[in-house]
Amino acid sequence: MKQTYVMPLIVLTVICLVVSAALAVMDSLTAPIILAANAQRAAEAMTAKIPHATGFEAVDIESFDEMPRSIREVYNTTNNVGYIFIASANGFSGAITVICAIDNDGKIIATSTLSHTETIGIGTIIEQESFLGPFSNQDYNLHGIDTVTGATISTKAYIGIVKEIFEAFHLIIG
Amino acid sequence: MKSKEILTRGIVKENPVFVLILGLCPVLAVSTQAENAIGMGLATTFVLLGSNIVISLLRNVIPSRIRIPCYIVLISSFTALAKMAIEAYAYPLYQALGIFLPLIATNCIIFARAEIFASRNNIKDSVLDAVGSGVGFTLALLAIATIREVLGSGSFFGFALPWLEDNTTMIFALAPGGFIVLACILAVVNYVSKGQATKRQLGCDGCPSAMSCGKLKEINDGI
Repeated sequence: MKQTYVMPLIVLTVICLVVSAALAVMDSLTAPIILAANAQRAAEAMTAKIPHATGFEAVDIESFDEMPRSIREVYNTTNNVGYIFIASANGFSGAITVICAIDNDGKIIATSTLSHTETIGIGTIIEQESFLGPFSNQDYNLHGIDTVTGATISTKAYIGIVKEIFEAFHLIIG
Repeated sequence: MKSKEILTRGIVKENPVFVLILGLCPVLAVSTQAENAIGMGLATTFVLLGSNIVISLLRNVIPSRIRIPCYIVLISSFTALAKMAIEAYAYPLYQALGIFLPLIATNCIIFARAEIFASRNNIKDSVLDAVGSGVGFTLALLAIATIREVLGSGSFFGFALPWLEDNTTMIFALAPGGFIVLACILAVVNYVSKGQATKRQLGCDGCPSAMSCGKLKEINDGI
């Protein structure tokens, strides 16, 4: 009886406890590094978009009822030279996360892809300059920007995200 | 069994991918670039090594009726440890491996080595077995990834190759290309070994793991 029921219980419990302790130690070692690295990557990405910004402060997107669902984070620049938007929506296979800077006149300063899981060699066009370059200086109408044949779904999703970013921009500046 | 044999068996004779046909899901998914293949192979080897060592150490402590839950807890914890370490210290690799990093926990190669080998052998042999199988898995991944990256992306370890760069065969970078390359390599393995490597006979004799299998040993010893 003891051998059959008690021992397995004790062994499994002890293993789980030891393992949880090991994971907790590892987490306490790596979590600060991971958080710091994430924050630094975000800061670098933002500064790269608006180099002459003196600083960034988060905009409370919860306070806008009609904020498009794709918008994740919005930052205003402390010296009022534009806004940074981080937005995410589904592409061909998984989420595409976009970072986009818009100046006070409603023109795109620059846009790029933060992360995606699109097909290598096809959907990866959304991180190439040939696709991203023409976005610069565009306003809401996105003149001359079209989906790319062969990567229609990925590029359509990207353009959709940028349009929603403009919707958010107009909401925020009123 | 000699140490050298235990070590090399996982690389050639019992190669997890080309002979045992195990762990194909990460093999097909992560073999688009040679760099990712190495990363995935090393991460899997780390988990394999950790789980083999601990399971071998605890082989007399873990009651056989709860061995499966014990293995699952141990293997998934090593996977979680590897995931945290890679996210903290090798972020580009973490991004490249994506969902397949946490899925190492369900990689059947690791489970197979725990059940077939580590739970029945001493720690030294288990380490050799883990290294052998891990290296075998990594080399298999690298072989597939090299072909797919060179033909599909026109590069090798990220370095663009002349001519091929402008003449890529897209299908090799996509999922069907993975199946095609794997099938071609399996065909070569079968041709070279005259069909012996992956020949399937009924019963334990046809099993490539028969040499190290504890169950067969028990039968032969008349237990």
